[in-house]
Parts: sequence; structure tokens; C-alpha cells
Amino acid sequence: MSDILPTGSAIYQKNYNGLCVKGIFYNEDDLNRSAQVIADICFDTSGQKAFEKFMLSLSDTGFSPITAVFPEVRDWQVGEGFAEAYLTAHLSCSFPWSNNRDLKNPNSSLTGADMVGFHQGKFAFGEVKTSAEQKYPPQVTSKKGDGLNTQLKKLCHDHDLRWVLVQYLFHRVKTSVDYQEACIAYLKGNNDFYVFGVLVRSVEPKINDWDYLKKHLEVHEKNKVSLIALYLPPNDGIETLHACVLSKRAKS
Amino acid sequence: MITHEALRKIDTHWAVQAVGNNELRQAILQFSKAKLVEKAIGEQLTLCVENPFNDEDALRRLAMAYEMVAIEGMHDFVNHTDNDELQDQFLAGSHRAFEIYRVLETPENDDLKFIFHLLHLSALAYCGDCWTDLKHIYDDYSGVIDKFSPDLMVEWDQRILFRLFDCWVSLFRKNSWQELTNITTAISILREEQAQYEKDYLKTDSNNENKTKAMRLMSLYHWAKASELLSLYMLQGEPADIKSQLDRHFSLAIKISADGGDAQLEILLRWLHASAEQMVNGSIWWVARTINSKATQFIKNLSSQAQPLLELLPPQKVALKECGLLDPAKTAVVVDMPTSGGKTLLAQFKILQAVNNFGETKGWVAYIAPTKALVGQIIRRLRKDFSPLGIKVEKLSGAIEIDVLEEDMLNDAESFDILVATPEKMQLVLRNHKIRRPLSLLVMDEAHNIEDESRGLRIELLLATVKQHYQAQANFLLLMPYVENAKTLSRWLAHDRDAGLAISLSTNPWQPNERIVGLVKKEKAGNGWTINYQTLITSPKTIHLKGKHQIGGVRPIPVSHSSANLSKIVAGCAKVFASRGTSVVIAKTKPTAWSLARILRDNMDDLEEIPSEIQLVQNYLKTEVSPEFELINMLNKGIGIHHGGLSDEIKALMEWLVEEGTIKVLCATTTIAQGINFPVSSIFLQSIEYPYGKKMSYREFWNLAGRAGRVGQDNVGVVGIACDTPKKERELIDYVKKSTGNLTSRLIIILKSLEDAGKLNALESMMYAPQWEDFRCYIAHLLNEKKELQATLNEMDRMLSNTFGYSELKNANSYQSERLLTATKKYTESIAKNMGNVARADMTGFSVESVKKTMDEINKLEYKLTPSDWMPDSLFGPSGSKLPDLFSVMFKIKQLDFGPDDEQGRRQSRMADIAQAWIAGQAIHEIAVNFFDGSGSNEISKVYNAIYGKLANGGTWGLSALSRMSGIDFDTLSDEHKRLLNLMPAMLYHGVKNEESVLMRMNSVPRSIAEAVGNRFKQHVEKRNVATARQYLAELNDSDWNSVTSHNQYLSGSEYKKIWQILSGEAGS
Repeated sequence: MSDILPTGSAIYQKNYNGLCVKGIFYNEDDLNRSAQVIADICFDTSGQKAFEKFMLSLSDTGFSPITAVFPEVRDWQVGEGFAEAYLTAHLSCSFPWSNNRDLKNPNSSLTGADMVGFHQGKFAFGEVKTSAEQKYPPQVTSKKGDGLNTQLKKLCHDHDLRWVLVQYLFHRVKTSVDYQEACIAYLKGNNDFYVFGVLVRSVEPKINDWDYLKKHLEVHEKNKVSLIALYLPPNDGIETLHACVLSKRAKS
Repeated sequence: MITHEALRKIDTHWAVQAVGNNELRQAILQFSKAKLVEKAIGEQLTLCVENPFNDEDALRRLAMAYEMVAIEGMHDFVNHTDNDELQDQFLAGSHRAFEIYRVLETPENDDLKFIFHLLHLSALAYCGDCWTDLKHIYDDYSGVIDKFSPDLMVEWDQRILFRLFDCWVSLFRKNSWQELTNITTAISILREEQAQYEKDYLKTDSNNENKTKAMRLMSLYHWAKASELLSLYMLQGEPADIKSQLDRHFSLAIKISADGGDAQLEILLRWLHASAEQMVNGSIWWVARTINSKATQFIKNLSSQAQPLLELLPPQKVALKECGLLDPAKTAVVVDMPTSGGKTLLAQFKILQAVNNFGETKGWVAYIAPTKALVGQIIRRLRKDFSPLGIKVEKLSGAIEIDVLEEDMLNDAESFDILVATPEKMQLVLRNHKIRRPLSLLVMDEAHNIEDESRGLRIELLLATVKQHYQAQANFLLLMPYVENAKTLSRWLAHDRDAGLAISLSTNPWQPNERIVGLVKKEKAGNGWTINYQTLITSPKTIHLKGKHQIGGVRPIPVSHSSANLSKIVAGCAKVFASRGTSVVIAKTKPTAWSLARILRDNMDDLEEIPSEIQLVQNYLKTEVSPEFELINMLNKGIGIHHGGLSDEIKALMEWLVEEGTIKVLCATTTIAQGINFPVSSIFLQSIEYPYGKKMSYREFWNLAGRAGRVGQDNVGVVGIACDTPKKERELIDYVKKSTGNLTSRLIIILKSLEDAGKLNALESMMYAPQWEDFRCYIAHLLNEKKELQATLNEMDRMLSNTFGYSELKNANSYQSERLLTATKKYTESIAKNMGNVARADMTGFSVESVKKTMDEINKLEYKLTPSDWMPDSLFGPSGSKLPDLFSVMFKIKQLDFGPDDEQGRRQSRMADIAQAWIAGQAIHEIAVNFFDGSGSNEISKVYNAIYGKLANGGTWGLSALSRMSGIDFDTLSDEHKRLLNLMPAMLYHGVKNEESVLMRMNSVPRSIAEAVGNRFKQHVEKRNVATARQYLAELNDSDWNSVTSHNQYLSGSEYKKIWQILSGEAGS
């Protein structure tokens, strides 16, 4: 059983044009207490084995084996795990299909989302960016292509993308009551779903992190989009979290 | 197969209910239909829907809801679980989802989105049994598809994706054999390119990204392998374990894409996996994998045609796979299938099964088609498909007499395996035991004609005859559209209770395409007028869009509002819709059909370039009819004619032109409803009545309306019925709402009408009315077979039970059945007094009463007929012919149906003169001038009517019958004379004067050169019969044809050859 994710300290919370903006600070102690929850989300020991099995399966496709070498240690996005843990623990979101394997493929025409789940009986789609950049707002919020701005805009307005995500989830949790409830709401109305944008930062908490998005993000519906910044101790907060989470994995 | 019940059921699913209440969902569905109609025929029809609903978002949500319903059952479908309900849900959900997705906007500006969109849409179509709709979707986007070039892609995954897209486009649209064979090459290219492109693709800095990319590649490689396997299977039926192999590769591709975080690819692959499953299910290899060796060869041939037949239509698949069409224990199979559902292919499989089982017995198959035109179409199709298998197919002419050449053929056990004929002709063959070999299978096409007022009883009694004489060995296959009581029919014909099989698919939701049926009316518009189109609610649930829609623009035919009569209105509709594909306009009478064609001729432009096919037919018409024949110039504008006032050959050529896509408007009469077997784009009816005022039956109307819309080409078939009064409007609204109902025996209908009129007690005397003629003939036949009255009476109940009507009545109305039995017995007793006449009746096909009348009339002649009077030279010669007198006898025999003639005084000698001129080789226009005072279209129609309507039917039958009753002692005739005498009906039928020419005509050689080719045949071939004649013709090269046609100014030898190929269905046509 995982521990409960600490609440952290609320630094700011405001509403702008239907956007809810929030900043939470986690000190080192908080991080230590968060590690197990995040580790439970992030670690996937079966992944590597499956990958090897997949490689072997190519022999009867007539294609040659893929020769590139991939290190055993998987790059894992601890930030995404942290974001998911936070939304689950403190915003009553649930993500029934763990996103320990991210939903994104850079070459898909629809690049997916980091999180797909439920919030207050509706679908919840989330995107996460991790940045230690000292600038406010960090470039990850405004970058063309895969910046948080573009990703959130798509989630708000690209129904084809959302439909892929809704289907993706349905294939996995067909019989879930939560799913049915969210799906009914989604099919009933035009824009009955929630979008979460999460920034994981290791800088001093400042609301300016959201300057770009406050100005440019057009929401699909008021009060259905939340932007949450999770601030870790400045400078080495992200590395610390990595280390904490890794230690938990080592334990298990 | 998707059922209405399954479709209704999914509407109660939570996802569908979530979109809104029933009213809203209906509005959304209507909106999707309106969009479909607009997309399909927006250029011709301006929609003005009442209370328009146009919420695109709602449309999308409903599509999503149905897709969700489908996804819920996808796992069960792909894995063949025991949960049939979920599998049905999957199919029904896909069907509905496709219906909506197809009208949603296509992302044409984003290549990747386009690829995913089109493949997803295609998969929905496949899984929803709508794949026939895909062809025109692919046609619509062919420009976008063609611009995709995998070779231009630098990124390796995109190169693969684009190439796989190409492969799946080929798999989905199945345009050609070549396209499908190219799939293997495409996958081989990918394998070759792997070494070149893969390394660079996996060279990003991020280990995670590389790994994700590698996963994507692995997923694509498995997909590629699955695509290759599927294409091989569709082409060759191998590997046999295709399903498990596909499952393996798709499952891995899906799992890898899921693990690799590629949700979009994962979802597409899930859909493609299901479509591949569906494609294999519908593949002719899969469906027919358990049947015999002949069928395997047949399938091989079908699949290797330039335009291959690789997949069965959903109703065909169901009939073969789920309903047990080929179950050997089922001796009577009745297939009720929608028009254009592909009944003939089912018949072909059943025939192959019968042929395969012939063994040493040298059995044969009877194929009965209702009209001469359909006999022609069937023979062409069967020969094309079966000749390569060594199966011999022959037909009998439309003459109601078996001539000597046909006798030769019937007696030769090697001459045919399958015999095609009209019911009347087949009845002669079967009733008189003309073929000694065992009848294995009887196929009756358009068997709903059992309820036809004039021919129904004859057809029913034909089936009863087969039951009576051949049931021990013969199986039945009845094919018909829109018959609700197929089960009753199959039970009637079956050996026993369990041997009947009814395959009822007409009322299933699957249709070859969407259809819209409405009234067309004129409406005042300023100084002009427009054509208003009002869609109707119909029993088969065609598209109904409430509102006032308009066909074309103002004054589609440039006449005033008051002059715009029904003909002008339907001509206007056809003119507008002609741009979309062949439009058929239907008139009540032949003269009206001509006048419709004239209106169109005066209002349509010449074709930009006259296609060679049209030129060929024009040259044929110049030769065979007249260089001035009106139809020739009409063809310059793409206008054709098709009605009973034309020869069978001309009608067949018109049909060919329609199939070749060169006819814009075909003007026909209502009688086309019984003979149309080719799809057209739209149909406009000036009237739903036959020439003598009788309305088309609902079944006939829907069978005709079912031809509107070509499978794979039109997504909406259009039907319009002209209307000019409120009363007619009310009648028509009511008419199209009526269901086609049960098929009822004519016997039951006649008895009911007698009971209603209080005349059932007088049945004995009523039985002499014309409507009982076929029944009386049947009774005479039964008596003649038994030879003995008491034995016949003793068995009468059993023998009558072989009829559909009596067998039904015994269960449903014992009073009527007892009355019928009693009256029949009395009638039998009365005719048994003169068994000679009974024998004559059975021999000639006449009723006993007609025999008596004929004998009386012959006796009234002032001279005794001698054998020489009957010799063709004398009968059709220039002087001393007895033909006028013989016609005077024939005119008095009602059964021969010479019908009313306006020019009473001239008729007997004129008919004889026409017969003589026809056999002497006079051209049609000469006969028209000589006997009908002109050579215009109406006169030409009259000639054809006289020849094909009278001479070829009543004339040949009557002369042959008279010769047998004229007191000639056949035994004293020499063999040569007997042969000549027996050849006479064929000469009259074909309009030629010797045996070789008849053989040529039997093999579809145009009349103008039949004699010349016949003479050549006589010089070169010693053993002359139908088969050697055909073989001889097939071996003639262009210069051979030239040598016999050098005198002709319009048709060259090679053109004659082409015409012959088209008409005979020989290879090369």
C-alpha cells in the first residue's frame, strides 16, 4: 500500500478567464514522503522483458532484427509520476491505466497525452512538463511543437485527439462505472471534460510561470482547465526526487 | 449479418442514449442522410429540408457513441467468443458509425490525419458490412490518394506507413488483380529498405525516444507482415491458417504500439485487425473452402480476372456460410434476397455442387429465367464462367416449340450440362420427358412470378410437374426478391419437412446502396416551372427528407408550365440526372417511350465524342433495321430505347451499352420491370401501370426500384414517380408504403375471387374460363401420363398436392380445396371421354378445348392438308401457300394469344405475308413499309411486335401444333421431310430459311449474315449441330468474317464478330 502524497504548501491560486492557476511547494521532507507513491506509478519492471520479447518476434515478419542497442535503464519521467500522484491524491482525479509508459509517440500525428483518467465524473486529460529553467515562464510552456501551450490547446480543441484517448481508455476499462459516467457526460455535451496542465519546477515558486499560458490559452469551457505548478526545492529538486524515487525502487 | 433487431438494440446502449433522446438522435440521423444525399446528388437535386437540423458536433458525438458500442464488442468479434450478442453489437455499431462518419469532414490537408481517417473509415465500412460503399469514397479521394508517394518520405516510419496505406487502399477497394499482387512487392521493398533507413531513424539523443521509435517500427513490421498475408489469401486462398496468422501479427502489432505509447496506431490496428477478420470471412476462398473441386476452380477463375471477384456481398456470405445454401440434405432452397444482392452467384455455387455430383449419371441442371432477355443474360454469364471448367451450357429459344435442332441437342447426352430457358419452354421439355437424363437441380430465377396474373399459374404448375415426375432426384433452388413467406415455399417443394430451406435476406438492413424514392411534380416558378421532388416514406425504409426539393433548374425542358406534362417532367428529371450515370425513364406504352426519347433528343446535346461501342450498335441498327432508324441518331446523344417493340438482340445491345456506361438515358416501358437485370443510377417513372392499366405489383415495383444505384458506384440510387393530381399523389404515397407481403398462388387468388363473387359452387363451369387454361392443360397432362381415368381420379388429391395453391389450401381452407378437388375430378372425367384429344393436348401444350377447336377449324377448311403443304418451301414460298388459312385457324385459338388487332380485315393474310417476308430475309424496314405503311419508329415497333410478339410465340407454337393435328401420318414421311417439318417453327422464329442459318441464329449470328455464314459452315463442317456451330464461329478470324460480310456497307467482318461476341457471350466480348 502506498503512502499518501503530502499536500505541500500552497503558494498561489488564482482564476484567469476560466483558468484555474495554482502553485504548490514541496520541500525535501515532502519529497522523501512522496517517493514511494511516485515510485509505484513510475516503475515498470515488465517493460524491458516485453521489449526483448517483441524484438524476438520480428523473426517471422521477414524483417531483420533491429540492431540498435538500448540501455537497460529506462529513461523515466519522474515529473509525470509526481504530477499524476498529485492529481490523484489532492484533486480527486483517477488514472485507471497507469501511465508508467507514456502515451506519446513523437511521430504520431496525434501525439496523445501524458494522463487520461477521470475527475468528478468526467474525463480528465493532462499534460506535464518538467523544467529547471530559471526563466519565468519557462520555455516549455510556450515552445512550438511540443510545448505545454500546444499540447493543452490540442486537448481543449482537437476532438480527434480526445477521441483517440477516450477510445484508448475504453479498450482497457470497458466495464468501469467511472468510465461510463465520464463517457456519458462526454457524449452528452460538447465540452464536458477537464484538462490539467502541470509544471514540475525546481525554481522559486512564482505565478509568472503561467504568464504565457494565461495570455494565450483559450479554454474549451470556463472552469474546466487547471494549471498546476509543483515546485521542488530550487536547483537540485528534480535530481533529489529522482534519487528518492530510485531508492524506493531499490527497496522493492 | 446485421439485423434490424441488432440495430434497434444498440440504440438502447448507454453510449447512444447519452447523446440525446430518440427524437434528437433521429434528427441527427436525418441530418447525416441529408448530408449524404447532398454529397451524392447535390448537383442534380437542391435540398430544402423542412426544419433543418445541422449540428455537426452532435453528428460527431453520435458517430462516436456508435463506435463505442462497436468497440465494446470488438474483442468478442475478433476472438470468436461465445458471446453472439456482443459480436452482433460490434457489427451493428460499426454499421451505424460508418453511416455517420462517411459524411463527416475528411482531413485532406494533413497527410497523416488523412491516412488514419480513411483507414479508420474503411475499417468501419468493412466491419459494418458496408464495404460496397467504399469504392465511391475511394473514387472521391483518388486525387488525394494518388499524390501520396512513400518514396518521398525520408523518415523510415513514415515510409512504411505510407506504403502500408497504399497496400490497404488496394485491399479495401480491390480494383484489380494487379493492385493486389503489388502488395507483396511493396512489402518486399520495405524489407529491402530497412537496412538503409532504420539506422538513421533510431539515432536520436534520447534513449527513451529511440526505444519508443523502435517499438513503433516493430509494430509496423508486424502490420506489414499481416498485410502481405492477407493479400496473398485474398488472391490465392492461402495460407489455410490465415486467421491464426493474422491474429498473431495483429495482436503483436497492437500490443507493441500500446506499450510504445502510440495510442493512435494501436486503435487503428485494432480496427484493421477486425476488418482483416471480416475480409477473410467474406473472401470467396473462406466461404467456399469446404466445397467441391469444380467450385475451387471456379473461384480461382473469378479471383484471377482482371477485375477480380474476391469477396462475397454480405447476403451471399450469409446464404453460403450461415444459412447452409449448399447443405446436401436440403432438397428445396428458396432464397429471398434484395435486388442486386448477387443471387446469380449463389445459383452458380449450387449448380457447381450439382454438376460435381453428376458422377456417372450424366445429370443436368435446368435454369429457368422469366424472359428471353434474361435467358440471354444468364447464358452469357454462365458460359463465361463455366466454359473454362468444361461445363456445357445451352439455351432453348423463346419459341414455344421444340424444333428439330433443339431435339437433337436434348437427345445428345454430351451436348449440355446446364440448360437455360423460359418457363414456357422448359415446361415443354419437362412435361414431355424430352431429356432422358436425370434432372439434378432446377433453378428458378425471379420465382416471384408465381403470382403473376398471366403466367403465374403456368410457373407454379411447372414446379408441380417437376415435383410429380422428378422429385426423387431433382433439387430446387428458387431465387426471388422481397418474399416474406419463403419458408412456406421451401416446405412445399421439399421432399419432407426438414429438407426445405428458406434463406430470407430481403428484409435485412443490408442494401447494395442507399435509395431515395419520391414523387416528381411540376411547380410554377415565375414565368417558368421547376420539378419538385418530394421524398416518400416507404416500406423498405428508403431515405426520407421532409421538404420541398428541386431537381435541376427552372424549365428543365423548355416548354411552358401548361405544356409540361408527365412525359416532360420525367424527361426533365432524366436529363438532369443523366450526368451522374445511366438514368432509366419508364413510360406506360411503347409509343410514349418513343416520344419520351424524342423529347430528350430535342433537349440534350450530342455526346462530345461518340464512343466506339455506340458506333458499333449504330452500324448494327443501320444494317439490321434501317439506316434511317430513329434510334441511331438518338444514340448520338446517349439516348437508348428498351421495350417489347424491339428485337431481343437490340435490347441485349442496349443493355450492353448501359453496362459499358455509354448510355445516358434509357427509355423503356413498364415491362422492363420483369426483365431488368442491370444496375442504373436513377429511375424515373411516368407511370406505374402496365399498358392495359394494371398497376405494377409492389414486388415488381421494388424489384425495379432496387436497380437504382450501382453497387460500388452510386451511394444513393434515385427513384422518381411522376404525379400530376392530388388523387394520384395520395395513391402513390400509399402505394410505396405497402409491404410486398406473402407470395400467393394464383390458384388461391382465383378461388378466392370466385368465392367472393359467390361463384365457387359453379366451379365446374367456371373452370372453362381462360384463367384456368394452364390448369386444364396440367390436368390433361396428368391424365395422359396415367392413361387411365380411375387411376387418375384416385391419385388426384396427391397429384394436386404438388401444386403450391392446393397444398396451402388443404391447410388453410378445406372447403375451397374440396371444391377444387371435386371440380377437377369432374373436369377430368369429361375430357377422359376423348383420350386422343388428351394425348394431342399433352403433345402440343394446347388445352383439350383448344385441341377440339383446332380440329374443328381444320375440318372446316375446304381441302385436306397434305404433308407437302407443311414443307417450308411450300408454306413460306411465294405461291400456293396454305399459311393464310392456317393463320385463320390460329387466330381462333385464344390460347395462342394473337390478341386484338386494329386492322381486323387484313390480319390473317397480312400475318402470313409478314411471316413469309420475314423468312425470305426481308429487312425490318422493308416489312414495315410493306405491311405497316411506313418505316418510322412506331411502324418498326409494330413489325417487331408482330414478329416477336405474335409469330415467334403463337405463330411457331400454333403451326407446330396444327401440323400435328392436321391428320398427317408422320410415320409415312421420310426422315428428311420429318426434319424439314420440324424445322419450320425455328425458321419462323429466327427469320431464316434453312437449317444452317437457323443454327447460326441459335448461336446469335445477326440475321443479315446468318445465311452467308451458314452456307460457309455447311461447306466446312460435316457434323452440324448447335455446339459445332458455336465452335465453328468461335474459330473464325476477322478475315473469315470479312469474307462473308464484304457486301455490307455498314458493318465490317470484325464488327460483326464483335456483335456476335456480345450477343452470344463468347470470350472476348
